[in-house]
Amino acid sequence: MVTSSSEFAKPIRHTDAAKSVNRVLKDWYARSQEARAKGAPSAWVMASTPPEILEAFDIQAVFPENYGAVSASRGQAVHYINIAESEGYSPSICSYCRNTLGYIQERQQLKAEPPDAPLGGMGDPSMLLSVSLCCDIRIKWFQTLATRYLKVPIHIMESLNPPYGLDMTDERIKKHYIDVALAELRSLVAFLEEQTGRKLDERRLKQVIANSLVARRLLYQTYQLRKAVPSPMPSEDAFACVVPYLYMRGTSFAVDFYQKLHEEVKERVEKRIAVIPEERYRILWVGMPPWFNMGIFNYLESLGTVSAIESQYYMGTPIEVDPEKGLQALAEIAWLRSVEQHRQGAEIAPEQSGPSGDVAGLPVSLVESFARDYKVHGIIVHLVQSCRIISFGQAHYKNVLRERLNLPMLSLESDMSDPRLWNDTEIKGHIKLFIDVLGQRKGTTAVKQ
Amino acid sequence: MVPVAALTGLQKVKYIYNNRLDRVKELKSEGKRIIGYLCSMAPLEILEAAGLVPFRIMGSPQKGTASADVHIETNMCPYVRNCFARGLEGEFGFLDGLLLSHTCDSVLRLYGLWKYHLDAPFTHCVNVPHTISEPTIRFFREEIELFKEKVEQYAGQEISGPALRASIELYNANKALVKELYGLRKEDPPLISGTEMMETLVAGLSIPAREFNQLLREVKDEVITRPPKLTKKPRLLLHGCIMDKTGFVSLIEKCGAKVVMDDTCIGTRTFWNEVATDGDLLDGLIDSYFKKFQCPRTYRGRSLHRFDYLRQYATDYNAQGMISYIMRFCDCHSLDAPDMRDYLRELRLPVLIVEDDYTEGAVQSLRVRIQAFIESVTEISV
Repeated sequence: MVTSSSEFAKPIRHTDAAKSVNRVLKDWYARSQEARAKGAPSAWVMASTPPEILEAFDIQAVFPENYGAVSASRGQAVHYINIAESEGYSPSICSYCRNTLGYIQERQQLKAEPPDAPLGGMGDPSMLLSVSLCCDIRIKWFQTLATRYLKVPIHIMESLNPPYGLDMTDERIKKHYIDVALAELRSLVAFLEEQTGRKLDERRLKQVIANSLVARRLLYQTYQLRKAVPSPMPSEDAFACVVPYLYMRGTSFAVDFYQKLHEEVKERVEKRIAVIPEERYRILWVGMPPWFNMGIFNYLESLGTVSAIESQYYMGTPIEVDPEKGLQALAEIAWLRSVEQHRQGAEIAPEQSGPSGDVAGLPVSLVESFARDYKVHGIIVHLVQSCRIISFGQAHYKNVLRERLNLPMLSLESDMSDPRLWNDTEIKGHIKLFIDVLGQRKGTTAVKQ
Repeated sequence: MVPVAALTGLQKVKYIYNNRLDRVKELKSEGKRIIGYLCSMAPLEILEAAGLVPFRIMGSPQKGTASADVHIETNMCPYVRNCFARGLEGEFGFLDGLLLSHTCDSVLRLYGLWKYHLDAPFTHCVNVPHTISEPTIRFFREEIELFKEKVEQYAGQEISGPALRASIELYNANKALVKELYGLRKEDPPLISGTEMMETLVAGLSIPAREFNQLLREVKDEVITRPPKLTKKPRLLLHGCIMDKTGFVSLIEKCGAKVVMDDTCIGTRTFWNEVATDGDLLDGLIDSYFKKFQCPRTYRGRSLHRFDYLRQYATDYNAQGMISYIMRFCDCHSLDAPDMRDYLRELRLPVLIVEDDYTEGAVQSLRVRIQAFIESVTEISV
């Protein structure tokens, strides 16, 4: 195991729910390994393949993107990334992807799970499931896995979103997008029926979708509670708590998890249990976190600054669709998320509303409203070098927010999973200067009208 | 100075290549409406059929990207940033519209930013699926229909069946002429160099299709009648992302090889697929611009056979090696590179993969690697 030399490698989380996520992940990987050992259908899945459908089919899924974060947070990503690069993969490619390619390369060389594989490794899938949502790389990544490493069936679901500037009130456009979303969902179902030898249990799917909507509502309500001053739940906790939503959201476990999270945060607000007792500054975090150094948020806290809200993994306002519509409901969710995305400015992230409602990048007006509603004193923009789709537009965010808000902004550059791009001294220096600026502007929040 | 009207063939090509805005500005002053475009996954035939003039937006590596870097992070496609910089600096101020297609993440997002900052009377983005299936083909058909309707609305005229057919035939003739010119590269030594070919294509994408066709005929007449070169050199296939300047091809040729065939954006990817006219015209456009369009952004299965067309190119043009030019941060090309390398190694076709960031200095720094590669190809051939 490669250990990180950074002083930020070990984060301290605040809520019980966030603290439990490590266990959730361990159990999930263990369950997946157990199921595979029994010959149950298992898949490597690209996030935003609707987890509701996977749950309805009882597919044991592991997500290589998640494994990128897991490997980074456990100090193993550099090892895998180096292997991938020595195979000829450019250092500019998504570090999650390089992590997967290095992991599978080592696994195949050893003909066994690498001994240092975090959480016991991802194991052998019986199928690969990808989705075109969000970025080009998600297709190429799975194409590479299928070409070079994993001789199992592969399915790629198309996820199409309207480009910027389309008239989202046009019924013809709506039908155009819902029709293709529905057809692609059906194609995924047909593939899974073939792979599992079972028909889709529609009754179960409807229940799973209903669970998913409840989980979304609870998560939204929790985010509303996070507006409280002092902050009851910081970004490092939110980044952990998104795991059940992203990967298990149709399950009753996810509903329970978010019910408990909501209750816990509500109680913290009522009892004024703060992330830091003497909260001096609140910031908005834009971009992905550095999974290998999540302690950076604790460092901010040591300087009296809490990251009260973040742009990444926000699941948006609750969406009201009828779960009884089954697949149609999932297609409608994707459309409604697109409409919301366009309403708030889709010039940067038009293509990021997936089937069943994931969203990877936020419209600039929503980020602006976060700054106002969460009463932040400043914004930290984290540019992750190897994820272009999340980074593209951060400069635009800054330009627009500078016009609309009167807030200091700090840009940090590193990566989500490649710690070689991180430098403790530099990052600390930037943050200290930023906190000084916040101090000089004490009392100033997003007040520009 | 000889007036451009008096120039023909390769001299005219060189002039247009170096002054590629002249003709469209002239047309603009005559009242024509000019639509800028990037990438080749949206059918220009529809613009032409409505009386609009398509103009390929290109960058200028010697001018840098500072003005675009204010809006786009520097870890994004350097080509997209460069083109946007030119737009922001007013180089394309004569454009009446913008046509992009969802080819890759960077181009899709460029569309949003361009429209946000440089909105024009006509802007459109054709959404292109990444997979080819019955639903996505249906989706692309509807995209073409929506695009056509929007063009009609903007042009103020319906595009009739005969007008679309005539436009398709014009572009098909263009593609056929380009292929004829490519055919002259099968000779050894080739009758037209890679540098001349690229200059011709870049020049042609800067003028109306009809004028491009005339230019192609002149170039062909010229190269088949001029004294042939006598020295044979290693013959290379050039693969890669967008190249809209001759710097890289010229460097390869100055290093002692001949670029005899390509799989690049301003090359076979744009000119290789004529549109079928013996059935439904939209079906023909779908085949040409979606199903057959060769770009790694489209999923074409897990098999290494997806690179078979490269073998075919190498065989048809008797290439002894391949140089792949990958624009830095182009994820689609980068992720394909090791698979493609392994495929070509299996064929015993030497391959050199280089990464570049669309700056003049960067191209020159590749000289030593290219020279070494050409030497190794020569040794293998001997």
